[in-house]
Order: sequence, then C-alpha cells, then structure tokens
Amino acid sequence: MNRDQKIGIIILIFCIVIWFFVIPAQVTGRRESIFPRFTTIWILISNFFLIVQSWKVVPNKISYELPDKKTIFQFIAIAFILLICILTIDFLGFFIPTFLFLVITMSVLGVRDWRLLILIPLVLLLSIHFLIEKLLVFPLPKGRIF
Amino acid sequence: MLENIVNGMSMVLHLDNILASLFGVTIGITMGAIPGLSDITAICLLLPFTFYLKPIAAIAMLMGLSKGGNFGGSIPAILFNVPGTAQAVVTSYDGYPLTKQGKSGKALKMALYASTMADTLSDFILFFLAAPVATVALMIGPPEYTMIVIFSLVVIAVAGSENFVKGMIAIGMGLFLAVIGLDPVTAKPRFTFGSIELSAGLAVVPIVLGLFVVSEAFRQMELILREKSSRNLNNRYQNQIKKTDNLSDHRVSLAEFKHCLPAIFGGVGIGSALGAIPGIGTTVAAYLSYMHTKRASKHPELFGKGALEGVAAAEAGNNAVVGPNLIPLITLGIPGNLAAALILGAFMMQGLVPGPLFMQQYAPMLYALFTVLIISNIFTFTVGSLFAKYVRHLTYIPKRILYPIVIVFAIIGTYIFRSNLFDLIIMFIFGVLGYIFVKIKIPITPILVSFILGEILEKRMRQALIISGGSSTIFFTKPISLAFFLLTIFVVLFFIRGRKKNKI
Repeated sequence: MNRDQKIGIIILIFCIVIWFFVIPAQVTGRRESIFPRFTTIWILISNFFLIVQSWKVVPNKISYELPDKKTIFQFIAIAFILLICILTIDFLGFFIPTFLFLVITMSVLGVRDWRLLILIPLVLLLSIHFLIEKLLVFPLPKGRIF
Repeated sequence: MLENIVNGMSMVLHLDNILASLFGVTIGITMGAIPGLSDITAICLLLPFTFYLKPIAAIAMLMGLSKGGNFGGSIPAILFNVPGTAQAVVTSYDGYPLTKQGKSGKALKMALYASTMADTLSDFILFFLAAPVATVALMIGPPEYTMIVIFSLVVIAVAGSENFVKGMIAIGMGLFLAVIGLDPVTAKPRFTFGSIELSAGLAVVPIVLGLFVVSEAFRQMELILREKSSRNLNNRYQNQIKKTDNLSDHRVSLAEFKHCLPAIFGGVGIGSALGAIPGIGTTVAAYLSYMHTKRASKHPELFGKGALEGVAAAEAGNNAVVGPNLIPLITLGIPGNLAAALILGAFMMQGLVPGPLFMQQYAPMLYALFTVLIISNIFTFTVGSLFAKYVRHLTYIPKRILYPIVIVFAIIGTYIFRSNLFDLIIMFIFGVLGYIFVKIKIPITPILVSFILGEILEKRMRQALIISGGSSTIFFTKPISLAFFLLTIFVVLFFIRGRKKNKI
C-alpha cells in the first residue's frame, strides 16, 4: 500500500465519522447541516479520485528518508517543549515559559555558547516588553502565579 | 468636480496629516515585517489612538498602517519563508528561493516596486471607476457570489497544486474548518464539542501562523537536527543562505523590471476585479495573479525556484486589491475585508457614514481619501526602500537562533489578535498539521484560502437557497451564476486535458 492509498483510507474514515456520527451529534437542524455535508461530500469525491489515482501510481519505496532515532527524539522534544510552553503561559505568564523555550530549543539545536543562550532570550524578551507592553500598551499574558 | 478635487487635496496637504501617514506607514511596515504581526494587528492596536486625531489625519494613519503592513508582510516571507500575513504566502513561493540564491535584496525591491505600482494603479481605479464598478457589484447577488467563490476555489486547486486532487481535498478541509463555530444564519453552535472557545469559531491568525510560520520553523529545525546528527558541521546548518556582495544581486535592473511589467499589470487587473467584490480579499488575488503569470510565462518551470515575475505577480495581485476594496466600502458601506472593516469603524468614529450618499454628501472627502492613498504609497515606497536596503542582513542570523525566535513572535502575533490563550493551542495544532501536510504533499495554501472564503460562501449559498425556497436550480438559472458554473467545469476539463497531454 503506497502513501496516497493510506491517506485516502484515513480521509475516507474521517468523512464517514463526520457524516454519520459528528454531524448528527454536533449540528442541530437540517439547514444548519447543509454546508457541513456539502464540504464532506467535496472531500469525499476528491478522496475517491485520490484513491483511484493512487492505484495507478507505482509505490515509491524510498519516498521519504527518515532521520535517525536521536534526531526524531530531539525534534519531538522541541515540539513537546513548545506545547508545554503554550500550556504554561496561563500559569506562569508570557515571559518565563518563552525564556525557557528559547534557551532549551536553541540548546537542542546546537547553540553551545552559554552567553548566547542567556543573552539572546533576555534581550529579545526585554525588547518585546518595551515594544509591545510599554510602547503599544498591549498587555501580554500575566499568568496566575506571577 | 475640479473644485471638489482641489478642496479634497487642500484638506490633506497639512503637516499633521502627512506625519500621520508617515508614522502609519513606518509602524505598518515594521509590524508587518515581524512574523505574526500584520496590518490588521497594527490597525487594531493603533485604532484607539485615532480618537485623538482629526478625521483626515486618523484616516491617513490607518491607510498608512494598512499599506505599510501589506508590504511589510512580504519581508519575512521573502527572507525566512515565514509569511507574516496570509497574502504574503504566495510571495514566499519565489521570494524565499531568491533569498537562498543570495538575491534577497532583489526580491525585496521587486516586491516593493510591484506592490507600490499596483497599489497606485488600483487607487486610480478606485478614483475613476468607483461609481460604475459599484453598479456592477450590485448585480452580484447570493447565487452569483456562490458560483464566483466556487470558481475561485477550483481554480486555486487546479492551478496551485502539484496534484489537483490533493488541492481539492485541501480546499474541502479549509471549508470544513470554516464551519466550526456558530451557524452564520441561525447562530446555533456547530462542531463546538461543548467548548466556549470553539463557539467563536477558528480565527484566521492562529491558522496562518500555525500552518505557515510554526510548520516552517519545524521543518527548518528538522533540517538543522538532521545535519547536526550527520555530523555535517561545515556551517551549512548555521546558514543556508548564500552570502553575496555582488550589488547586481540586490538590485532590480531596468530590463528585469520591464520583464516583470506584464506580471504587474496582470496582477493589477486580477486584484482590482476581485477587490471590488467584498470578501474575496488579497490572498485569493495574490494566488490567482501568480497562477495567471505562471501560465502565461514562457518559463513556468522557473516558478517556485526563484522567478522574479512570481514575486511581482503575487505582490501586484495582493496590493491591487487595496484601492478597489474601498469601492464597496465607500459606495455601499460594505467593507471588503477586515482592514476595510476597521477603517469603516474609524470613519464612523469620525462621524462619516460611508454608503450610497457618501459620494454626494462628502465629495471632497472622497478626493481627500484618494490623496491620502497616493501619499501613503509614496511613503511606502521611500520607507520600504530603506527597509529593503538594510533588513536583508537579517538573513545572516544563524537559523538555530532565528527559528526559535520566529516561534516566539508567532506566539505574540496569535495572542495579540484577540487575547485568547486557546488560540495558541490552535496555532500549535495547525503547526503540527502543516508540518505533516507538507510531508504528505497536501498543499496548505488552498486550506487557508478556502477557510477564509468558507464562511462567506456558506452565507451566500444559504441566502440563495432561502431566496429560491430551497431549490438549487437558482445557481444554474441566473446568467452570471451559470456562466461561472460552466467556467468552473471548463477549467477542470481543460486542466485534465492539459495534464494528459503533458504525460504523453
């Protein structure tokens, strides 16, 4: 099974779930469901052609070269750190999580000079504070703890 | 008329108005140049300050912000492949490859020339054609509008994707995302899963920043990690941008400018026509203009790899919308886009009510507005030239430092839009989705365009069905609507035939 066939099957399942379960549960009224059903049909018809098209394509075994385990781990770690940063803004405010995000991400990406690791986030966040909060008088998230 | 023109110009030509315009343009370009902030953000943030200004100065500042921000959005798109605004996405197609070739100065200058030229020409279109275009626009009812939007979406899927079918799936996804939130007619919640945040619907800013900025940052970080792990430490991961001191790489020669003129005029035509229709907006115009130029080019294979015409077409297309977008605002009181809606707010705050009688009651005001637009263009050109000269040096920042910073700006841009922390989660989700979509070759621009047009498409479709009593024949019995339906089928068939021929 090639990549497009897998995508086609996932989209097909998505459309079936939307049509039979999500729309009846989340949309009340016939008129309100016209457009959601229209978009589902749009995706479904396009997906039908994708599946048909994918049968004609010879599967390419080396379509995408996966990186090594360490790289995958580091990449997922960065995405995870970003998610944690976003989720903690509500508690810690804007500046602490973004400072930590910058330091950790730059360090994972290979910045080794600790002066850069501290100075760049510090200067950047101070500039943001003065530009956005002082000059434009727009409050960034304060957080519940700080 | 001459008296009105003179009166209008004399209303504008005061130092405070000119300074307000200059301030607006400078702040607009600066904010547009920061990924995540845009002309809309700039207008939102500075709108309260316009209370303290006289009407003309306030409008001069807002128009300056809008025009400056529009150009500024192309700066990060060209330099870092992280478009600050939705319309700048198309500019990045060829702008960033030019940067990678060490020609960022050339790309920025072409973007500036194309955007200010198209903007000025579109302002003249506003000036001379406001009344007749408004008459034509009045003929476009809900069924015609529905078919025009469907036609635009199919054209985008056909022309803008490597794989037409995947383009159509992307369009469907964007339309589906637009459904989340309250029903536009009955205000009943749909797909909210009990979440208060989702009942307001998905906002365009977190989707733009997620799909284009965060996902691009993820891709770049993946590259850095791959190269780091393969122990290829020959500075490639620190800086993939070719460094060149050759001045000709940072200038647009007369021959190059002449070569790009058809792309600019094409963009002006497409952008102006679309700008007169409320809601279609700059992103669609940029996309269609780009595709038109690519199709008309003798070397379409160069597009996406650093074709200067591509930058010119995209910028001309999106900037040509600005002038005609004010036509429905001035003549009918209908804002053509979000920026126009905010400007409408500013008009009303100043006691001016745009609408059918505006041109009769405030004729000098219309000419004053025109003068303001031209002055803003002059400032965009001069301030933009300074930016283009110096800002290109930012590309020399190592990527391992740059992309974490870009993500922080994306967080700020998303939060500033409506002070909602939930939008940050949406931005993150779309960042991951955008990253995956690019890997599986589902184009992300059609998702954005159809999301933007989705709400208006549904409204018009539902209105048309209400008018016809639920019969869908209304879309095929009105002449303009039928013409666009046939045109849509023709475009699809023409494309399939073209693809088959190419394969042979």
